[in-house]
Amino acid sequence: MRNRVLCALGIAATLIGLIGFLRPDAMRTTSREKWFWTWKTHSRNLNDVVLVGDSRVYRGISPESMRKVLIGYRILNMGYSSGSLSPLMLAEAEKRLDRSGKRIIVLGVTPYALTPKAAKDEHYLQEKNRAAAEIIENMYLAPLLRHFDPTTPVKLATGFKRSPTESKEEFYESGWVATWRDRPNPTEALTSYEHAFAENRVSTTIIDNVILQTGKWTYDGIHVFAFRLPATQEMIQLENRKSGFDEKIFRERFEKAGGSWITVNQNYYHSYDGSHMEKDSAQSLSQFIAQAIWNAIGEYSSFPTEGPEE
Amino acid sequence: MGSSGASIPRVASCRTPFRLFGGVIFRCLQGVIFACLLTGYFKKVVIADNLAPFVNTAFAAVPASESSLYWWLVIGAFAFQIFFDFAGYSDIARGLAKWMGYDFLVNFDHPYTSTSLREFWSRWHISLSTWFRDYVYIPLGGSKKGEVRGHINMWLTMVISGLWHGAAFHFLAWGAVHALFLSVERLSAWPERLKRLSFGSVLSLAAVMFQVLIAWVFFRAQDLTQALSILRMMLEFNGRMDIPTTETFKVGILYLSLGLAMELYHFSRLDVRKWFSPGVYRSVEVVSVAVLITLSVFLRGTGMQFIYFQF
Repeated sequence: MRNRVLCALGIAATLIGLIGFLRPDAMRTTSREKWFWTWKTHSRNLNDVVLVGDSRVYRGISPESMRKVLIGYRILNMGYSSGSLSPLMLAEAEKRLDRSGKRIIVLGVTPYALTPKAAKDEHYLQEKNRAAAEIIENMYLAPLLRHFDPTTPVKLATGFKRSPTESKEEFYESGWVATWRDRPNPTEALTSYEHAFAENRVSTTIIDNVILQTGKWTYDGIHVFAFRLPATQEMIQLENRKSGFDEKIFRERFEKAGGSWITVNQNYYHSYDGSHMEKDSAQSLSQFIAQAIWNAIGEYSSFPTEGPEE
Repeated sequence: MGSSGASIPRVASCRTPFRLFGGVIFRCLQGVIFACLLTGYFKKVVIADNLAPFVNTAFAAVPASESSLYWWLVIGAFAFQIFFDFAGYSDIARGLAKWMGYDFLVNFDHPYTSTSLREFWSRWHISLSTWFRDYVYIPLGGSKKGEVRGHINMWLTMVISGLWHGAAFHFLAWGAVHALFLSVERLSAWPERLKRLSFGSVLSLAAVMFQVLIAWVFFRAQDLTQALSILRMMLEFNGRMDIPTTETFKVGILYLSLGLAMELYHFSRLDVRKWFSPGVYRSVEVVSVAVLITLSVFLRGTGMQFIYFQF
């Protein structure tokens, strides 16, 4: 009996090894995703540039592309799902900045990031409050186990092919989630944003704090930049109509407090769902933002273009 | 194989720590222990944990569908989720106990193959139902103090058993619904009558399943209001087909079918061993175990806590 059990274990180990190492990459995302969020939240690395905001930031800004302009800079994308520009997140961004480095904070402004619901920062706090054992597991064990990530019979039956309307994602150590779809649907997010601002309009308290903090940071010698994340025209109009956000007034107050506003041409970039940038647009936008920062801090280079790369 | 007492002196006689450790480790490779651990793990992490997302989504605040069919599927999925979750846990516990030299009784003996509710309760959570029988029902007088008193004692036992799961009206209702069905069964003796018909045992099986599913609604619902609303949708038999065909739903249906097939295989009394010669069957068994281990690794679910940990 023991020999038969050992034989079964031997066959199982061979099968697991073969399947684990020969499986398509599409299956290996669970561990990578766990590692990604835990690393983003709990890494003790300090940075020259920290970007704060919601999912439009973590999908729309690629530190890798920014580094093509800001060569040698350590850049962290600290965007979270339904993330905010609350006092908590601004304080966390400051903590992740190297005091002896370049000291640049970039605020990814969306109307939703300035609402009371976003200010609950549920996604960030969920990651922040993970137990120590879970943090160690996600950061150090999950990457080793990625070959053995679970799947479902449905995925097996479809041969791991995602539907053309399903998002594809790549998780980068810098905090960026490159996202794209074979068949984009630029009106998809409109309905959820219609609901997102019901009894949840932009908070003047949150804006006042952003302005106050910008003033303090500027006084302390931290460069503060902000820009409005691009989305489809329909989405921008919906947000302007429903959220109570006035970009012009925000920009004036922000600049008065010492911040540098980066104007982004909304028409250059493409969204796969009406809200979030697709991968190529995210890379172009990131280079444009990096170029604006480069120019503003007085280190001029020849990268003045805006729009998708040809 | 799996005998309890002999291992202790053998382990104690080991002269080196390595041999002691090796002896303990290799004991788990004995057939019965290994089978308990492996099947328990498979039931829990593959079947129960893959059914959980489908059930949890359905019981979230906003109903995903008002289709009767959808809700029958959801409750069916919950019935198998709780069964495989707890039966898996019990199998793992039995395997570990055997490893340490103790023999625990089987706790779930294919309850969904029962052809009467009385039989169901002799197969479901046997340790708890035996305890309630021995320490509540019999001390109250059982069925020996007349028919009416027998029903009252049974109702009290079932209601207390419901409250044992939690101090909430929906748990109390779950116990009461079972008591009601048991009373009807005692008074009408429908299982015996039904079994006289051709396909009577299949009809009895379906009738028991129907009653158990109705009762599970009360057990799983967040509160009594949700339970009644779900029950209304189920019993309307409205023919609506607005069922969300998400991946969670498809996965849930697949594992529900697997659970159902496993129980029906037991009910049918088919014996695959007869299909092979003993030598070939031994090889088939080795390969089946290897495949089961592989599936347990790659098809494991979302790592839910054991349901019964909350009680």
